[in-house]
Amino acid sequence: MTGATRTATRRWWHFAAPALALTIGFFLIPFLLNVYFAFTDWTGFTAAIAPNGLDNFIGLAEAGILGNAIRVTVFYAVIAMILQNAVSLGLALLLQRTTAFNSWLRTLFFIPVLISPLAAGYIWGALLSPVGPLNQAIGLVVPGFDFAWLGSGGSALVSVAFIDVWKWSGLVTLVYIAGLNAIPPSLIEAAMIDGASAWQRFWRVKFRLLAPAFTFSVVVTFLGALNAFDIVQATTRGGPGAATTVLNIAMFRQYTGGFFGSASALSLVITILVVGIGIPLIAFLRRREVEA
Amino acid sequence: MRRRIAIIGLVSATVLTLGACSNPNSGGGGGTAVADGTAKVQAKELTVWVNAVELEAVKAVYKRFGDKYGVKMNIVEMPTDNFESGVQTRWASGERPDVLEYHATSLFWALNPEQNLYDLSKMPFASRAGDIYKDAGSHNGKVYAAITDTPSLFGIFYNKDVFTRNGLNIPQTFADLEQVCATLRQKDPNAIPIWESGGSAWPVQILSGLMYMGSAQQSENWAQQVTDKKTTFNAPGGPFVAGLNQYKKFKDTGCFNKDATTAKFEDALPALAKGQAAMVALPTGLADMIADQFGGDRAKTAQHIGFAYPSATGAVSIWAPNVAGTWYVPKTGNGDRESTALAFIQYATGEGYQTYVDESGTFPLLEGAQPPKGGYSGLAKEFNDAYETSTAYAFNSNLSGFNVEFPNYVTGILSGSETPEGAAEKSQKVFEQAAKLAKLPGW
Repeated sequence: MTGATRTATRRWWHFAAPALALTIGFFLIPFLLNVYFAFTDWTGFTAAIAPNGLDNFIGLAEAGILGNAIRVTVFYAVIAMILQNAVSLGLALLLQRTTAFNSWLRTLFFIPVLISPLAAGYIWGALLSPVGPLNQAIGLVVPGFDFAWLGSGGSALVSVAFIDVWKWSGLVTLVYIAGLNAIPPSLIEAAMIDGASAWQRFWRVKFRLLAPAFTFSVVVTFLGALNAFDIVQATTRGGPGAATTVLNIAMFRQYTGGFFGSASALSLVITILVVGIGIPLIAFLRRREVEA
Repeated sequence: MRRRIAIIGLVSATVLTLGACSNPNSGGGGGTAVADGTAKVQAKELTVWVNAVELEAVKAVYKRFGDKYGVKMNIVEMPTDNFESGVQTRWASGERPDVLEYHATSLFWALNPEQNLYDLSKMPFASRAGDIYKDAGSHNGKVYAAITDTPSLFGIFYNKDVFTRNGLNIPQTFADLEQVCATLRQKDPNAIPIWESGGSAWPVQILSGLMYMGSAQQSENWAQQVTDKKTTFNAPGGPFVAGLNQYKKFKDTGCFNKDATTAKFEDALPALAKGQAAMVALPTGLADMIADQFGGDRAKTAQHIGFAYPSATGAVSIWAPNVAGTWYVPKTGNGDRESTALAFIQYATGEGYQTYVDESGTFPLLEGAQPPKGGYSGLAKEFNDAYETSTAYAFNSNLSGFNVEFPNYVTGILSGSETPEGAAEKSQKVFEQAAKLAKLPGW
């Protein structure tokens, strides 16, 4: 090893230090504090903070808040992930070729990504109103149609998940387009020469080789949806009842009431969900990439 | 070796960080000024946190005090939608205003008043407020809030024209309400008997809980019994479950608007004014917004709109303190500013109070003040009569934890995903959890 190389090796941390400091200051320490506070009785009511074991989790479970919020969050994330990837993959296949018209359409589908999630929530809240434009349009075919999309448990959850899909599909579409364009055209041509149909070319060639883009998109959409808050807050505020009370909404309510320990406990549950589902999911999809 | 030292260093730093971590709510620096009505203006500037939706008459109090004493009033408006969480976020991080406008319900207990707020018990206004501090603005027997605005009453605004047209009497009980609903459905099917606003969530707790519980609250201070463990939300045959069942009955018999789960309270106001809805349960604090439907003409509003306050077994108006005009003086550590903040409270509750009453046009809360010079405007006389005749403190005000979740249980009943009994059971559990965490006496 030359002297210059040794010096460079010794000084690597000069370059890493800023990133390391930011990671420790804004991620590691808050994360560790959150873990600690989740097991304390921290509230705004008293000055003292003392460890209270699993009391926060038990109390939230007994009040029916924890179990419901986990169920709603996972269901929301699954709907958002499936719909987002299905829609985005379909759009990517349609808009793969770079033409002027396709570029214009890609821009159009990307616009929702740039809109604030709160604004998206308010816009869709109005569109989905019983007397809103959507029902008016349906009313042309089904006279008097006035279904409250956000007013009943099942449809409210699917509706807010759909808004998430509408908001982020443009971004995932670009990922799939990049993935499709990375497939060597010679492979597709070879499949065509071998007599593969359009469906076989997609399913046996393109979809297999899209595995890295698929892994990225599935993981990002699913884990992103586990953190849902703003769209739900802007449309249903977690209601009606507890139908759309995702973990972040439940956490927000605990926090608003001054129960910071319980809020931290719910925040920790989100982290556990993300890690507990995320790591196996990534491992599974990476294995699939290798097989592909 | 070096790596081991680095790891030990990182772990030590983390442990020290955790160990050094203390509750910002325990800050409580300062507290050197004297809160006995003799505070002097000693600073040239005050920061005031207020709700973005502020009454004009309250805004005028800041201006008059600032102009008179040469104090620059920095009014920091907190967005209404996230007002409580916005205040909590800043408060929990140790930030403090000189004057805080906030709820006088148990929500302010979460600011750790003993540690962080001035005890205003010895200020002159505290002895001129009747019994109000028995329920609101106080904690463990000490007064922390300076409440100046007329309390909001919760009841039914009804369209007089619809009532007259159908020969209806003003409801005194929930049985009367049921009768009004049945008559309207039969004689005037185009009129919505009761407009409910599930999309806004908070209004649904008025009819289902606040109003029905008025009788139990007035006769036996039901909420205090829950706090004292003498009864529970889900007690068989108890008034809470009965109220939710009555609410469900209204829904099941078609008394509500078809879009009750998603409608907003803003939509209720024109519907009421036009007679499309016969009744709407809302707080009197929205009277000006109702008057806006009549071009801001309060007299004309009173001709067409009335205020009723039925409860389970008799007429009881439900009151709760307004956020507007309810002030606290946090301990900031700056004696001059703390003294000036106390001087502001002295002004708002003393020499400036009558002007405020005259401008607001509502009845005075503090003894010694006269009714507004121009007389009561619009519905204010009806509100005054309701408050004087029969009133009870809103039962949910000091039930920590429950008051945040209650609207969601009711929207659950509205949408059919929740039963009254299930909601009552959850209410009890959520209150028990909160009471333990808040370390309420006996919990």
